[in-house]
Amino acid sequence: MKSATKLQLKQVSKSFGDVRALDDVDLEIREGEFFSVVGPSGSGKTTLLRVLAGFEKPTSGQILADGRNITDEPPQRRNMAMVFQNYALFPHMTVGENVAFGLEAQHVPRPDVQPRVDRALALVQMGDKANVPVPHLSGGEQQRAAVARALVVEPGVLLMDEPLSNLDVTLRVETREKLRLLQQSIKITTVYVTHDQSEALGLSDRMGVMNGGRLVQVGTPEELYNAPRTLFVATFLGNANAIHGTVLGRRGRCVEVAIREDVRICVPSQGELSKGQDVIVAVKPEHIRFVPLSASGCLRAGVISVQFLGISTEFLVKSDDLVIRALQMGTDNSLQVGMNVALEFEEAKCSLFAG
Amino acid sequence: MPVETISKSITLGLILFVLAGFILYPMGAMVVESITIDGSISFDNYGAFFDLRSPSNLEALWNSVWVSVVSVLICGLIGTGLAILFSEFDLPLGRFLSKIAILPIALPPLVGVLSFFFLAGESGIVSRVVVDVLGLAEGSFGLEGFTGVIAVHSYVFYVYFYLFASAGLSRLDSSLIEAAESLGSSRLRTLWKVILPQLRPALVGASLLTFMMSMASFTAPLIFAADKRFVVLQIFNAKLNGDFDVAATHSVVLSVLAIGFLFLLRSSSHAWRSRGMAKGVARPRRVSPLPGGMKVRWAVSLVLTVFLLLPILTLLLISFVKEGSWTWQVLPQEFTFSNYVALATQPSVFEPIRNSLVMSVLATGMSLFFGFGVAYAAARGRLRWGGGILEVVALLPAAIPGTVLAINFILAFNSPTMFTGWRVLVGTFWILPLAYFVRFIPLVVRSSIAGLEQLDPSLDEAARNLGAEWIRRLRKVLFPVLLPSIISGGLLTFIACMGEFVTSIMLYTVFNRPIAVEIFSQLRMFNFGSAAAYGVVLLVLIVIVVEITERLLGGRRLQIVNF
Repeated sequence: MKSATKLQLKQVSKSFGDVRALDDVDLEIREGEFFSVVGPSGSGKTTLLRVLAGFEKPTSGQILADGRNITDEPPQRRNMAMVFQNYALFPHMTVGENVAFGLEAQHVPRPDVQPRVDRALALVQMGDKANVPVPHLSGGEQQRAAVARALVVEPGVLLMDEPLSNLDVTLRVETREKLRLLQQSIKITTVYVTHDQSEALGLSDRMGVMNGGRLVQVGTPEELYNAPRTLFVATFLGNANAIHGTVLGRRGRCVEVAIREDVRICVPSQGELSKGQDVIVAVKPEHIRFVPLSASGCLRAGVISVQFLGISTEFLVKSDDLVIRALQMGTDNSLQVGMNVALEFEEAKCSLFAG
Repeated sequence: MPVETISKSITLGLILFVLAGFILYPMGAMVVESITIDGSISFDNYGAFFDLRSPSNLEALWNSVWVSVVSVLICGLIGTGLAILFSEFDLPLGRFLSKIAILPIALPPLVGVLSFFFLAGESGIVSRVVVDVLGLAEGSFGLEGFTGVIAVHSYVFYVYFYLFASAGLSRLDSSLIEAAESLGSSRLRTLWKVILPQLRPALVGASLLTFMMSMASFTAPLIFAADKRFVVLQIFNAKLNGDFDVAATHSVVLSVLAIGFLFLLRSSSHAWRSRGMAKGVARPRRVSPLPGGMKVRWAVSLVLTVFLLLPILTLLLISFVKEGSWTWQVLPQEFTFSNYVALATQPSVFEPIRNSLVMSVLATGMSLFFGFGVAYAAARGRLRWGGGILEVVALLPAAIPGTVLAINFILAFNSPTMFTGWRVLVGTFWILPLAYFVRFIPLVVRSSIAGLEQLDPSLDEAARNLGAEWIRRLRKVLFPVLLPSIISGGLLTFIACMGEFVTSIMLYTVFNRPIAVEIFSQLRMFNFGSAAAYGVVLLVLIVIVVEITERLLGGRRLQIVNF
């Protein structure tokens, strides 16, 4: 069942001088969903969030909230609370005063303020910290205080700008889970900006990938991961290897591609491709298997690096000028740097893009 | 939205009105006066200034310039030397020394000159001792003329080099020095090849500032070299003779020079501040003991302590000398509390102190309101280039020497203007608080802008995002966070106002005679004891205010000097 549209961006562009930070972005975000925006730094994702919050005015285009045009509304009228990357807690106030700030600014009747502050702090397990001055908080506590300060005003939309990037790894994973549970329990529409694809994949109902100011693809994490529509999405989300090849011809639902004279793979594709066309095959590291060197029709390569990662082992192998990343589950001691291997691709999991 | 726009517009309008009326309009009045002769436009005044046949004006300009250059050189040696000594070496009393080294910044110029006068002037203690020991004729030794002026400048202005160089040294990445040493560089070579080049931008800034201050210095030439030609003295004398054409022309020449230097200073300090800092956590600086034994170190420390404190101790000593009792003796013989008792009991004696307090509070209040307003509009307002212009206008007075400002005010406000509610300001109480306000507003503007620049912009955004309108953001977020910078700006303003002498001596009336003017007239009447007692009271008042403010700020140190 599809829920109502909460936020809508219509052909939104934003330029800073010559730089086009947002380039003709169209996007719909649904009521109650957790929507992530990912992309490399400089791709425009933070600008997108700031345009939503009203800190930046789009150069062109419209922003609608609940169907109402809010493009010209100042930030203080948008009812979208933001959690900043550095939290932006007011350093001269206690945690409780920080959380109460938004309620006071919106002239919530005095008797209602304290109970709401208490509830918001309890929600992020900070109930005992109301009277602590901000400079005395640890990083994780600051993060939770910032979330409480945003949630307490019961915003229509919660905006988060890389809220976990200042936490250390263990705390980041733990906080990520709590954030997801919190969002699901209060069903608040959330727009979440991050450069960490695993964060986006794990948290989101739907997500969008940005590159060079454009929104490249929008969908569920599974859709984006498994069926990337561009090479950029494939490499950014799945660390896919990009392997050049030449089209040999269609064979049923897949297209046969030669990546070496004697190495052919058949990649699922509906696109119109002509014989002899240059293409790029995207293969994710986990979709590469090592097979005995005796196997025929396989790509041969030399191992140039082995990195043990715990649950898996990452290999870098080199075939001519092509460096390929391959991931094998568990520990594999049989392969060492300098040895030769043969590679087999899980053809059904590969994607094909015009070269 | 409309309410916000209206209240913002009214505030901005008020700021523009005041800046236009009290900074730009008086400067305009000065320029107009300098190019008007008998009601028509003429450049004859400038012709006379640059006339090679009667070179007295050019001589004054030349004297001002060369004395300033020499002052810069000596101040550079003293200030940089002290900074390196205190930051690189472990000295006995080091912390105490580095504190008293910045004393001159809080020392009103007149009090500084006065203490130096008592110490090394013609009838100063050191001079008398030298004359006595060497058996010279009375009055034949002592600092006077150009030497006197340069000596005073060195003593008062070295502090700019000291502060700039100390700041530069504290930012210096100590791994640079360690790298040089590990490559086999000697200490001296490291100093010359690594440390000093790193400090260059800071030293350039300090040189420009010291040059500006020396050019504008009025008190030192007035007391030590009243018979020599200096641009500031020419202006002062022209004003005394009622020759406002000449005063205005000299003022314009001096202003053009000074404003030029202000812009050089600003661009150099931008280059200085935008220098990237080393990544990673700064390691604590490694100080090494001064070469030489324990005795050498103590000797250096004690000599420095005496050097830094002697003028002030002299002032204190003189303040207890009985009026008229110290004539031919080497050291004063009779001591008394009567100078202080008079200050406390005689209403006519206490009045200057009250006047200075009242006027300083008024001027500081105005500076805080308008100075913070300008800084906020310049740094946060959406005025585009308008904000920059506003900031530059509010910083202009930093370049205008006090003498010039006084001439500006006389020329601008000796007739009714719309800015003064169609009243004549000259000859009233209000002329001085307003002159103080204009003269020192750059202190608040600079400190507020520095605070705003360091402030994380997302704090304001977070407040907007939570629905706070601008007044609430200002009151609840920006103002409290910036309080330390605002207060330190206000405090410096208050200190500067309390000791202000240059514009006071040219603008005061019977209604607002301030402490500095009173000190000067006591000096003229050879009431050295009373003059010194006023000076001591002024210093004590300043120390009390600084202490109270630092207490209120919870022990946070005040940031001093920021151009």
